[in-house]
Amino acid sequence: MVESYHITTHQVSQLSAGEIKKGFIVRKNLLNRMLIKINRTNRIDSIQHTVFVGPRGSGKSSMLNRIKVEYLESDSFIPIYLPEEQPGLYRLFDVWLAIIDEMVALGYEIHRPEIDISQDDFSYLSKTGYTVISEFLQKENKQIILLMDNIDRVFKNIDDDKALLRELLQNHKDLIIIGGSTEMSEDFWDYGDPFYQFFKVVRLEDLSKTEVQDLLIHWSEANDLPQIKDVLRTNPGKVEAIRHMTGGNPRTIIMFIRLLVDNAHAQGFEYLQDIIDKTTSIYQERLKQLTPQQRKIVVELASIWQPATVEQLVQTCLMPSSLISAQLNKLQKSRIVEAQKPKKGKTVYRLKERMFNLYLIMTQAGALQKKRARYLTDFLEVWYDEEEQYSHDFEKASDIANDSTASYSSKENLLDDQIFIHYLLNNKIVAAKLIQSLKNDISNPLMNIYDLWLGNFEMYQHQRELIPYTLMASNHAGTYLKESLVHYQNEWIIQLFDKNFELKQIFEPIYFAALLLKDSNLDLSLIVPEPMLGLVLDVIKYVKVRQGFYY
Amino acid sequence: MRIPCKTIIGTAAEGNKYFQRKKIESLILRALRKGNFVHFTAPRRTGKTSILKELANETYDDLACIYEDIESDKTSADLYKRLIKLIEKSINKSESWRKKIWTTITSKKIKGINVLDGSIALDDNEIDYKQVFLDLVTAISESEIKIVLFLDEFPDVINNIRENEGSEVALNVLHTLRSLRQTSEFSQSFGLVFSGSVGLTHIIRKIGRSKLLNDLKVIELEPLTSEESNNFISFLTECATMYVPMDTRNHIQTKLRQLIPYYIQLIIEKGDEWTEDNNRDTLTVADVDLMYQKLITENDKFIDWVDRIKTYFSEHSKFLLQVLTTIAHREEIVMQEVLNIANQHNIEDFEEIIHQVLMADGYLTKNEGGKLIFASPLLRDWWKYHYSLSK
Repeated sequence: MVESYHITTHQVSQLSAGEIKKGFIVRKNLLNRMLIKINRTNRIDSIQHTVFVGPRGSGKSSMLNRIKVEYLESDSFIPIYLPEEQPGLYRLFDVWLAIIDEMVALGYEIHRPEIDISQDDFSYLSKTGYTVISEFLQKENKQIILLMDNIDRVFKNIDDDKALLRELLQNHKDLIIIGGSTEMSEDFWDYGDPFYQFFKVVRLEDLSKTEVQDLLIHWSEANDLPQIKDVLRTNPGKVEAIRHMTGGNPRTIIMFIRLLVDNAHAQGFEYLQDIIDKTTSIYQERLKQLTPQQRKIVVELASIWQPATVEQLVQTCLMPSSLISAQLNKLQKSRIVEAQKPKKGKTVYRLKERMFNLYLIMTQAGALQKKRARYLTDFLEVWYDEEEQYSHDFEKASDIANDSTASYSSKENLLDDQIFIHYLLNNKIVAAKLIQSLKNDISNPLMNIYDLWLGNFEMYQHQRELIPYTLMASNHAGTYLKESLVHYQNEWIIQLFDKNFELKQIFEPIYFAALLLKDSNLDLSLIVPEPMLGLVLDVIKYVKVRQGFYY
Repeated sequence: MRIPCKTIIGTAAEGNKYFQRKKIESLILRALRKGNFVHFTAPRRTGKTSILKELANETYDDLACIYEDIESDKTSADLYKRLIKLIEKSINKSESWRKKIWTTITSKKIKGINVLDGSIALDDNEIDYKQVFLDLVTAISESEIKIVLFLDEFPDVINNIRENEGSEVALNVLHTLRSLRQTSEFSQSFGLVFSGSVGLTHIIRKIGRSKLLNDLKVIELEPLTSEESNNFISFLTECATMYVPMDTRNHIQTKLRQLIPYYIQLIIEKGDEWTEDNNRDTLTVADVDLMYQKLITENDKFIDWVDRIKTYFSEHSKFLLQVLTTIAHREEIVMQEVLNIANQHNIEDFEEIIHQVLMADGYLTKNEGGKLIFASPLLRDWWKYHYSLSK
């Protein structure tokens, strides 16, 4: 059963030191860099204070706990870990008292300062609490490594005392602060703030392909689950797809792998639904952390799916562009949104983790938007229907395309799968590379659509002339015609039908749809034979939904 | 085991992380010995605090220096109390003179304090801290050593006093300190160095008495020279696994042009991590280009340059930001074009603003043809990446 797996997704702080060390598989270079820097810290040289920034589940707590266990037996450092949930820390002296309590728990003979509870004002403790710690550390010739999860929240709480904290850190060498934060909060970037650019900010980047492999091999061995290694061996493409969809987030990857092991034969949409159900808690938590304005922007951005400009968001969110820009900026800093800057034109934004986007479409969006999610399930179905020898690795695809012994149909299938996936994911760069590498060999009519989508207009014009000759023989004629309409090529499609009577007969509903899309004032009932009305409306709906996807 | 470079980001460089900057250090010491009070100024992230801490850590025959970040002081009493405590600390730094100074101070019987074993206990009763401070400065004026306090984030404190007690009290503090430096007997035995990431001039301007600073010796921290930059890279990579060959060093200089230690450190630190992740020891020219590109795309590295304008020059910020964005995209513009932009914003004294804000604070400079360009190509490219002309 899934629940019995010893794969930790939360609460790493409750594991033993040995378990934490053994389970720390990825980001080892980063850890080593941190440990070397800490080892070199003393009471004379500068102290590097650091904050790890990454979304929930990216491994911040694992990193902090791994650092903690490294120094449990140290002669020079006392590691103090203040865990994620710490509602009691709302003033600076709460932090000092929490540190003193932790030190007592670790066996140090230190005592809280005398507190006169008859007084109303306890602010003096902000300095005296620190003095108690500082004097103890100087006497013992030690420094504290203060590991604070959600350091941004603590900083928000101690707002009045931030200048004092910075001053104490500048004037003394008692504390090495290492924090974890889901966002680059104002504490780290507001110009007027005492901690502006004070910390070295280390972003926990997406796990690489090799790191995910290492992680899966570890889980497989640690939990005696050979199925995980099997998945890795037989379905590297699936694993890679999961890495892309989850934005390389370790915690979400675990959820996926659990499901993959349990539902080895699951198919598309149902599988996706299952994933959504299981990952709900992670994503709900993420949503909860957003302000209402940010939530609105995120949900709208999710329903647009493709990268959107601020202007597009103004239309859907009905919020002023300055407000949207400011919030997008913050969402970028918290790594929820990523910006793409085209060489020409305006910056576009999209949700970084595509799985989170899908979750929002499937759970928050309206019926029409939910339907768009269906297109994404094509993506998953491709993986599951694929024969094992076709890995979805790009290099392999190129190899097969260039293999003179491979059959035309196998190449054609491969091309469609590969490019269509990237078409669906709106990943223009990869699709462009694939098209470029496969083009010499295959003249698939859909290639023309991809050129159109990629903005290769010259190529599109050139290839288009050949289409009438290849289209009839192709299985993709219907898709080609409909997709041309998606990309606003009504005129060309109408011309094509007018020149080719046979084509028009077979795809008459598409012809009428093209006419109606060209001129929406046309009276549907006058031009379309009644039995065909439903089919024409289906085509128009298809085109509209797809246009919503890409434009 | 890979050995990382000696970079430090965010906090001041101290001890073996400090890169000696002899020229500026001597300049400050010379000014202090001449009896000047110093206003040490430079844009953020140029290394002011590192230099002050280093100077304060050194021992001198004639100076007892103490550095302290004083930003949490909220009132004039906080500040005077702090100055009293700092004087106490600096006296105790001087092994050869401390006894003599303490004896003198004790003999003066300053009201409100008790001196015992080289420490000052302030009476609990209501004390006029300003008077105690002045009495203390008077007492030490007879000593043969000069006490110097490096007050970091001093402008913040003046701003706090202004907000909590009003401009009059803030002015009074500034006048008191001014009277000390203008009295020769004090200026020979007591010195102050003001520094801070917020410009002192901007804060004083808010109070409306810019002239109060006229007698301060202004010392500006310049970027590194080409030779210093090369030495700095050698210093950062000393004993480190990563090696930076000469062509790469030259390339860093060409890319940065304005050789601010912080930027050099960013490139070196990122390069160190990058080469480690790729199992290499040598930082190549191509690596530098990649690190440069990464720096440009990261929003948080240079946003302070924008925030600074929005915070301190809010009334002209739209104009200034448009000028900067235009230059970022066009590489260079002539002043007539700035005038054109100024006309859109109804700004008359645009030349003065450009000189006092954008040129004095290190955003812009002029090229040989007299056209305005970014002082730092890195900042220009960052600006170009993040701000489009239509904004």
